[in-house]
Amino acid sequence: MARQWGHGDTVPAADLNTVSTELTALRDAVKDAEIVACVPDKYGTGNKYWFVHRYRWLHFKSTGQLKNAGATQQASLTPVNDTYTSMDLHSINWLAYGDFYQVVGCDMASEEDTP
Amino acid sequence: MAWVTPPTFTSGLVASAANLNILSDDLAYLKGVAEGPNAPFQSVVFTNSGTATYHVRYRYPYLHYKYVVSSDPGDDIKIKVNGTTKYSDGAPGEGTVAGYVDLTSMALTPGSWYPVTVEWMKSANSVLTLWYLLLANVTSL
Repeated sequence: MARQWGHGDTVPAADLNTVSTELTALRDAVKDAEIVACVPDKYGTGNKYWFVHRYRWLHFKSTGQLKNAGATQQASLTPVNDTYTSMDLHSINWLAYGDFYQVVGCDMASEEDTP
Repeated sequence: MAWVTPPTFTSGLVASAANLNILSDDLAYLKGVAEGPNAPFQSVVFTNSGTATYHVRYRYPYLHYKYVVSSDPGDDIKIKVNGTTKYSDGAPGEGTVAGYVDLTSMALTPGSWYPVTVEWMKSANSVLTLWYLLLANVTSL
């Protein structure tokens, strides 16, 4: 088990190696396959996508609105050149990580960790 | 961020920032794996001819598909990526089909989004159930 250090403790190689060994064991327990599901297109007019905010960037296509769960706060989603567009959700001051929110009117929407 | 093999430390050596940062980065890697979203691919049932549209952010080369044709043989099924037919069966019989197509030759841009469509033409009472469309870095799921 990885050691917990206190102020003034030394850092022996053996203790650091314990951390390396445990990290390696965790990595070995994770499979190498990286799989992502295709994102569905909208189902008809008024389609909504519901998210729990986890990643910084919202990717979307076509004009729509981003609303909080109760639809009391909203922001416009305007695509660039009518194609896939990403929005920095840090720019939405009423949206915090973990919040439940909705995207309305877009052809597709997906939260991503990169723009 | 890719996984980096954790360093082996030896007595007397300085625990460099670079080596300690590998430990931090690897922890972040594992945290990312543990925290990834878990949105399912919802199956789609076609009782009539039609097209289902999806979107995929290109990151991995293999597009996996699985579907079932039931009740009667179908007339035609196509899977298109960015408008290009990558899979086609002009006489889909009853049964389950699973496979993948390699998108490498399409020279798609990593990180960019592309439309993926499934086009189904029924025959008699045939029904198509699309089980999944997934992008992966491996050929065996």
